Amino acid sequence: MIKNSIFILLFLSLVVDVIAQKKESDYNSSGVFSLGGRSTISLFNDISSSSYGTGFGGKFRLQFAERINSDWFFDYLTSDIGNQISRTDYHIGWSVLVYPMHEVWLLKPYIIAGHCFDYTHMVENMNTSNYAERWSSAVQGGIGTHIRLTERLDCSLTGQYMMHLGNHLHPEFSGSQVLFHEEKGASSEGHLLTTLSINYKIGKLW
Amino acid sequence: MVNYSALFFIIFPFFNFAQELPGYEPNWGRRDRQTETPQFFTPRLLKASATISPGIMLNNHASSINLSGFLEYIIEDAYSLRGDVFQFIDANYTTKSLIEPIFQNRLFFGAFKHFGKNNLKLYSGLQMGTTITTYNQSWFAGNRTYVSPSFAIKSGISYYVWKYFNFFADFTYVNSILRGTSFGSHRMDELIFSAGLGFQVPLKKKRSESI
Repeated sequence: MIKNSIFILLFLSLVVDVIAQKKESDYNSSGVFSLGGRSTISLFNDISSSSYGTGFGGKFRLQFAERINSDWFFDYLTSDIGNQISRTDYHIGWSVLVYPMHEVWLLKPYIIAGHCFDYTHMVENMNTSNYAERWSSAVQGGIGTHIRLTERLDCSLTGQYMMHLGNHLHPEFSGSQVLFHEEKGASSEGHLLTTLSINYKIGKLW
Repeated sequence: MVNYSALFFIIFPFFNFAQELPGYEPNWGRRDRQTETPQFFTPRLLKASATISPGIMLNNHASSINLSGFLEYIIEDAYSLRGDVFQFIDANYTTKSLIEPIFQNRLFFGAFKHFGKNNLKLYSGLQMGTTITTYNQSWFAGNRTYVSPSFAIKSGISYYVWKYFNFFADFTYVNSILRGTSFGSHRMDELIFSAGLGFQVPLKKKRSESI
């Protein structure tokens, strides 16, 4: 009886050991470095007459732990304000991705939040010497999912709200004349960013 | 002596013709032949090509001519990473054309999936990138250069005829918006056709190379 119990215990411990040693994918653990490109659509700009913006950028991704990843990105975004002004935004920042659950089918959902620095440039279309610019900082957060194409290649779709903190820049129209105003003091403005990115896992850094 | 020489020149060519060329398959076309088709599309294949690509400017009502090129790397059995460049050469404009680019360059990078077995492959992919356009804003404002964020969707077919060559044909839809013109923004979407001879180099050698 004792021999049988010992045998069962040994067998169970062996099974537990094997399960515990189930090797996780090499490309789903800490130290994985990815490179990617991204396209962004920016909605709900703070100025009522502004159109949706389109953007292009690059990024790299560095995974800190099995469930924690990070995005480091640069975006170049363009939009219109009426027919008289064009606006360009440059974003540079980082975000942390948290995976609350394991991969389901090809999808790996995540919660994302981070910081960003941005530069905004507005210019009158017919008179490029009439322009305004400002630097500001921003925080962004949202949700997204990786869509696994292969073990090393994925497509990611993210929706996040970015809130800028800094001087408020807005145009005013006086007949055919365009005047830019920069109001000092903190003002929050934001936009919804929908980003589609393609990422390739280059290798493990540690 | 002359007779011997004549005999030599008559018989010698038969020895030459009797030699099989490397890669020549004597049973080619026979139904009962038992040969395996060599696969030229493999992972770790580096592809490149350059060609002349006609296009249609969908919103600018013009037909364009571009010089295009690509570099592609097959990362796994069915997926590749690919970069494309389209250099605008000239266009035939109509009375509805609002923008006449002086210079236009489109640069894209993205991922592709390849479908099909053997050496005939269909492929499709999504790319993101930029379009740099220089155009004449107005007689007093002069030329203006603008960088538009863009994306492209490409679908096509390629046939790998040999270890180093393939034939390809594809269509690319390009989405881009030129902002800041004298009348606001203007879509510069384009449908571009590319076809020609492509080159590839297998970066990983097969263990048993017979071709």
